[in-house]
Amino acid sequence: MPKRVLCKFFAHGACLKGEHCEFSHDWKDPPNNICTYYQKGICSYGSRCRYEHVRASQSDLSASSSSTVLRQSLISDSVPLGPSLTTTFGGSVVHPSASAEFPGSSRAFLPPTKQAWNLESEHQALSDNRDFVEPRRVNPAERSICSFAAAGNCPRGEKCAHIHGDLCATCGKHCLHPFRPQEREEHIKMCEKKQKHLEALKRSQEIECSVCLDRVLSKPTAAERKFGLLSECDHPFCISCIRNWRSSSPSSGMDVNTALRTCPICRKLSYFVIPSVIWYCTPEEKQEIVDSYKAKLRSIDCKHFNFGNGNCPFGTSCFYKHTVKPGSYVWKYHRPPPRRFNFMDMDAIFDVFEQLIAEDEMDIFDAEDFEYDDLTPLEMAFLLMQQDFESMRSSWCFDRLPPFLSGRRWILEFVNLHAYRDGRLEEVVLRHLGAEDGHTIIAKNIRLSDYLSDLHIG
Amino acid sequence: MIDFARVQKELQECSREKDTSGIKVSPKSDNLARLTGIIPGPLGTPYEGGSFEIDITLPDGYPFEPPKMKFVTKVWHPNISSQSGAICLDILKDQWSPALTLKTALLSVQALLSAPEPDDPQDAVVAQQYLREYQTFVGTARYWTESFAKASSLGLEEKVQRLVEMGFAVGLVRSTLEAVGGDENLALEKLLSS
Repeated sequence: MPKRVLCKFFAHGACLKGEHCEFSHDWKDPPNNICTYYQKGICSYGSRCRYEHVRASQSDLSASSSSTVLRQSLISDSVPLGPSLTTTFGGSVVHPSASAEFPGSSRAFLPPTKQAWNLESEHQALSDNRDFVEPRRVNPAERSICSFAAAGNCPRGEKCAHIHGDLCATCGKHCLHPFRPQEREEHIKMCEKKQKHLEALKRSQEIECSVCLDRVLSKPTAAERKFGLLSECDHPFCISCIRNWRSSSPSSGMDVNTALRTCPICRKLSYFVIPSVIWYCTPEEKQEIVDSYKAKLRSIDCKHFNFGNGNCPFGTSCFYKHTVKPGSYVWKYHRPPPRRFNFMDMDAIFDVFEQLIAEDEMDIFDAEDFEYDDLTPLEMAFLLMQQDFESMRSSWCFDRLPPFLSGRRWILEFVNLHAYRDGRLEEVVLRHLGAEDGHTIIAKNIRLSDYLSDLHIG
Repeated sequence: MIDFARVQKELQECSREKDTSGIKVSPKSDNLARLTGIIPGPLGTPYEGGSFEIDITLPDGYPFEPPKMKFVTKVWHPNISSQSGAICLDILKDQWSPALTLKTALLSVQALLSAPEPDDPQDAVVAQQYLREYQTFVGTARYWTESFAKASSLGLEEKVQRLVEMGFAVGLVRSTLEAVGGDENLALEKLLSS
């Protein structure tokens, strides 16, 4: 077996090649202690080098540099190869077996480094070692395929020492290893995926955004060259346009649910936007994009949940990852911490309240389907109110208050929220911001609209 | 900021399809935020034959905010103010969509001309008339079209002049012309038969 020299990487516990490694993963095999830099003529440690400084032409084959052993173990009996030549190329990308065929022209490939010994001996060594290589039979699965053939054309043709891979029908390269079925399959799969992606990308080039009327993939900056897919319909937009539209302030007169959250073309209500660099043709492709997007989000920690210290309005239906850190609020109390919103415009809150109550539309928000980026804190609060969680608490912090409470900063808290469809709340609590405990319950089991109409904001 | 690249494209599209749609949009000056649109009165309505000028102002948020449109040409229509030319149309307000363009918005205005919504009026007087005395409404609308929306509406005074010369009272001539929508021959017949 060729595995005679201990793998350097394996010795450090870091060999990524595993069983396909050309070097020995057996501790009993001797490590290679020859300085490859000296052989290239560029060892800067000189006599202080801890590796052996051996001239390549003098070294025994078995004790030669690691790359020499590697090459020799791989070449077949018909190809003679001098160690000096190999070491010249040791570590470089040029394949020694390919250049060994043409010893005369091999000079052209030499890196412009001065040898530690004179160049004459190189040729000498080459001819000396002509008969030196002993034929070895290697398990075909362990032989690597010829990278020249894989790249398109191997100058050695039939005589090549390496296995020429089979043709991959998708990428048109001879890069399928005939004896590694798993690798073949992986390559074919990858290749088909890449091909599909390329085709989709090509198709997507023509797609125009219906808002800016530009081709999405011809936008000036990379961040803009993305589609924003709507969950409920198939009209194409660029991500910036659709996000822009959905985040337009409702104060501009547009209705949130009949205009802003709907598709600009078909007006179908979509709950979230999926960014994608390609456009799709089939529902399956769309599903794939959506799934991979959600999978990606699931790997990101939720910033609202904040490892158990924050309150995520989406609870268990959140797209992002909820990791509870030991010692966090959730870890200690098994419930999310109370919510607080600072600097809210009370008029805006109450306007929305009244509007919602008037329209009896407390159920307009669907917790499962929102992407947070689209939500204002206010909307989140409503989302919260709608959820039937016994322990869910909601609170707003505000500076402007009804006259009877004015002058201090208070928190209006909606405790034990049961989001009754008629807008009834179980308990409304006002408390001073400084006081953590000691609530002042100012209303209990009331209709929200009654409560709000009693509040005279001035 | 207004997406001027898009406005440019819209203008190009409009000029390409000018012949089929009959809708024209042109900038008032170098500033693309102020435009003038012209729509033909829809066939089979009292507005037929007229060409209506609409003043368009693009807000900063365009196309995420609707363009502001109002009639410059005076129109007799329940959803258009006979005084200011203000248009009551949902897509120019809360039902705007950024996928709509100036052309489609103008087409919608044109559609509004052929399908008035008297239950959601802009001009209460016109809406009342539309609901109670439909024939009068049609007559007035046609007269207004004739008077204000036609290049030949300059000729109205000449028609009045000619009919007056035939011996009819000026007031009667005007009201009759208004009733028949400005058609001189019809007015003459009516005047003679009355």
